[in-house]
Amino acid sequence: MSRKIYFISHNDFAKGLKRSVEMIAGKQPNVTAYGLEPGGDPNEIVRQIEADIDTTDTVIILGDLEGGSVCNAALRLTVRPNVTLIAGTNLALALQVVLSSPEANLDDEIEEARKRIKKLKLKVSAVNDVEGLF
Amino acid sequence: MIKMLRIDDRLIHGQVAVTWSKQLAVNRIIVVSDSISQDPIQVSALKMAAPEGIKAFILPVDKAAKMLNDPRADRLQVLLVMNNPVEVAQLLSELTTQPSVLDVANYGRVAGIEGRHKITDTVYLSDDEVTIFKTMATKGSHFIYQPLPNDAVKSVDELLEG
Repeated sequence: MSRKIYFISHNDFAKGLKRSVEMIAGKQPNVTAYGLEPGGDPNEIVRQIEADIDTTDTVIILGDLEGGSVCNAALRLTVRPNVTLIAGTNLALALQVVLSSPEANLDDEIEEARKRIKKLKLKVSAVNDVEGLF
Repeated sequence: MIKMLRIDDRLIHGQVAVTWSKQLAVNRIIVVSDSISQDPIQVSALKMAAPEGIKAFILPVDKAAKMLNDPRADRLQVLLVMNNPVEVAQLLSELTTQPSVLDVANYGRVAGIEGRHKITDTVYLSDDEVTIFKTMATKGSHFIYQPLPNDAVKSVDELLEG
């Protein structure tokens, strides 16, 4: 019984995402990344995940794109009560999920990551400001 | 209390903002640098890089020491981030209570590794900087090398011997 996280994508995004997550958060032995290569079979990815999990695992699959062939293929795993598939993955969401506690509500983690998608503009602050330090 | 002093060229970035701040459960991140603290653009960007719920301050060495020596600082959970070993030695000599952990994580690659010795994959020190770390060690300031919480802890004293 363990928590298993899969990143799945078209081409190398999932593998690169895992490397990016690990650069920030360290090695993640419970994360596995699969990428669909051009001409490849998305069902092969799903078969590999199926072979790796059992009914006692908590499985979270982060897919790249809703409606894309990889997420479409993985959809059939979501009939299992212990599998959650989330589409629209980015680095913020991947970190949010990887660093969340096993009891965390995934809807909350998605909302937190969604808040990180925004325009950034520098708010110029005063130098040597210690207001609010204590 | 100062939970950790981290030497990191990249100052407040993902490893610090996302990972260490959670691990150490800090509520203040203080970047200490004489030069950066006087640059409004860098100060502003660093403040924006702090994670939600954690206040960031960017202060010169003297002012940081004064604030951290204030008795009210005992109640705070502080992560110090610095990018200059000379200033680190200066700050440590001015602090009445030393940080719980001294960690050098990323150093020397931003300024350029030319003329620096490779100590680890992410730490490069010049001869002068090696001397600074050895001098700090003789005064009881022993650094570790641990970029991320689940990385093995290595003794910088031993790395400098090897």
